[in-house]
Amino acid sequence: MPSSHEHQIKYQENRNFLDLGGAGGGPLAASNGPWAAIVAFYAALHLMERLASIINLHHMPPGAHGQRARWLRGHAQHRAILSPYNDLRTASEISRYGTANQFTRAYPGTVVQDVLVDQKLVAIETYLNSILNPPAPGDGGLGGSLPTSGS
Amino acid sequence: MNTGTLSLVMPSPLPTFRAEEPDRAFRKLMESIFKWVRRQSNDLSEAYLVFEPDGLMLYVLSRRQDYDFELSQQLSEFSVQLADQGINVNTTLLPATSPEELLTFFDPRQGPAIHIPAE
Repeated sequence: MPSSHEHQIKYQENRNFLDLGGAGGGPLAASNGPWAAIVAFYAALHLMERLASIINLHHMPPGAHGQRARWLRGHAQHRAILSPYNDLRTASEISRYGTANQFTRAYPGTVVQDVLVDQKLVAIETYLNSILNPPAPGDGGLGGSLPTSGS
Repeated sequence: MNTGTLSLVMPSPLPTFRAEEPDRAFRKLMESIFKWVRRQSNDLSEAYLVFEPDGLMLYVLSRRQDYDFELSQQLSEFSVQLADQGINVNTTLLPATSPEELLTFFDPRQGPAIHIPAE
């Protein structure tokens, strides 16, 4: 099973693709929103699994998505990121399984970048950073190596 | 299907769920879902409680064509409230969708589902 470090590498690969995988090396969402939604979800998924691996928990198929959501709901702290996780999962599923126009109706314009990536994925990244790299007493709250933005 | 009351989408010969004799936890769950759905009826049109292989899934259909992030937040909070009562239900919010598009997420013919209209 992937280690925490391996999940971090996989997250970073997805994040890099999200940031630079579009036309001309720009954001993927600018050129392919449905694909960007899928990549954003898998970036989030690897962050979740990185979090779970801290307690040696690994959500495996079949049923991994449901197990992961159940774990988040039941966790006093981690439930804070249940809603953004659900938003990313649903967008990814509409992208993969929905009809041709379903995704663009659901996420018109720049919603994929502005909301799914810059708000929902960033919320999960920020939370992970706060858990994995808590600020040392008196350091002003900065710390950690997990990127929290797409740049 | 939209009868205004609980209706079961129950194709035979799948196992029968005896809705008239739910145990206490299930009755509590259904009451909670009905109340929540009715409370959000301005924003959602209907919901389906689906028995999936890895547990219960509550699909909520928004009235909006675009994804309603605010309603999604409320739905996640509702699922957390249920979890605090010992009831685990996964949730998915879907934008307004046609019956054909709904089939891409779940197929009532593949297993039992409970339809919960908002009105």
